[in-house]
Amino acid sequence: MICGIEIKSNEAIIVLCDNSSETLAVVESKFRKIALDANEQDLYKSFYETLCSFIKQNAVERVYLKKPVDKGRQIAGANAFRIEALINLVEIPVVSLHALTILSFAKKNDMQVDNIEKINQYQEPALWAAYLGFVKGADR
Amino acid sequence: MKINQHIESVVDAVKNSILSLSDIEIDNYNNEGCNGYVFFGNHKVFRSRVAIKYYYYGESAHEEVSLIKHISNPNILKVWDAHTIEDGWAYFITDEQSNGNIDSLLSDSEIDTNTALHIIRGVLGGVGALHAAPNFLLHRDLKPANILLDKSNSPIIADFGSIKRMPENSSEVVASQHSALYRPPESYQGGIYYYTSDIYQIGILLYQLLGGDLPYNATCYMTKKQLKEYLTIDDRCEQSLFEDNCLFEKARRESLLNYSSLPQYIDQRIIQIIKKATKAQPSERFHNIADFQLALHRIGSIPNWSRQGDILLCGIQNESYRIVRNRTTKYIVEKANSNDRWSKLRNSSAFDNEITAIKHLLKCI
Repeated sequence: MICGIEIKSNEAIIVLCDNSSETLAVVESKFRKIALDANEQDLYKSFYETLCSFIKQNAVERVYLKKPVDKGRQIAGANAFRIEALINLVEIPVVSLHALTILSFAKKNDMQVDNIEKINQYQEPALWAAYLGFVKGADR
Repeated sequence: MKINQHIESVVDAVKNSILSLSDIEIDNYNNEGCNGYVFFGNHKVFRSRVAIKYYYYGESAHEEVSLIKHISNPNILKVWDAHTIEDGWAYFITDEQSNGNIDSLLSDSEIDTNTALHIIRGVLGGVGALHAAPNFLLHRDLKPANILLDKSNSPIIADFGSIKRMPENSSEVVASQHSALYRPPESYQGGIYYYTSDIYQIGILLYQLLGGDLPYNATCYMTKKQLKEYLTIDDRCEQSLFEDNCLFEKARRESLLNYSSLPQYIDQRIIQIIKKATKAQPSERFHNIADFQLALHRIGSIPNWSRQGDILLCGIQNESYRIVRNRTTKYIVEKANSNDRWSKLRNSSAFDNEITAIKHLLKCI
């Protein structure tokens, strides 16, 4: 299993995917987004533990993370970077992908993913991150 | 009873073993458990407090110890060492947890909301590690007495006597007969136990931690008619079956937990989480530990309520409030100033009852 994550505002948007066959397949999960709303130690811990639990529960082996934009007009907010740091603390490899890399890949490629109807539209950028990782073969 | 008398009272195999432990100075004993002996002492080499559990190994041999030895999680009791001794007895050494267990915490004091949530998050973390690959373990006996607390009130899941590994290609194991009050309906009905059955037990635990009333005496759950019938039963075994039946009915009807006994300030969203975790139908509960954790996480930052005698304290975002009774026995809401003095909250009057005062305070913050 792999998962794609996009950080948007104060939320990590997550897509769980099965990478065990030739074609990547979306796995239906209620665990679609997790927010970091307040700047409190207990909530940081809770965010991290909840994410770790999701990863363990689903035997996720690698995370493909769409990095929050760190410069320019569309620079992400402070919470996005806090979330990025927390995601990078998980025990499995986290591959950070630049937003422009994903965008350029998406322009040149059609997404061929099974069960794509199981995701919500807002999860699409996270799925692109997972798909890019899958196609580039870094997870195999 | 002094420690030497305790040592004299145990079986010879255990007594001989204790007396031969040169590195551990035994000074305390716990007789609350029913399967084995637990001693405490100072480990001279580790220079720390340790607990030594002696147990008689039957058919399952050292399953309990070997299963937990391979799990590394801060919320699961760490086993340092294990040995077999004579006559079928064995022991293992763990850290002593200085703050007792949740049962003693519940009986000694009222727990504030944040501590309750901190404990339950830790329990979920520990149980999540048990359930996840490659362990695939079900605890089957999650209750306050089986959860120890360390110095910072972080929970340490202990007592793995009922632990069971989920067989491959299966979604259920045989139910444990322990702790009738915490048994989910499916364990009575079909004698089966799922991963979500552990979730059911954690739901009850959360209810208790938040101040929900859960009497340990089974007769408290009987109707007048049932109690009358119960009192005519002489045989202890029959009585026990009758008690189990009453508790099963309560669990099946989702009426075991009395939500009106929870303090008025408990957030409705947390009550909904308890209700979902303790659904009679396993498929209606949280599907897994991560879903349970996510639901708790989504509540976000909530006021930390605690009670000190007649005073109800509430802390949120570095501000402190309290609800106290004034001389005219009305309830007033006060806020702490920067110099630690209390003054009446602006725009608040005196309230006839605590519930109205709580509602007013919640509206203001």
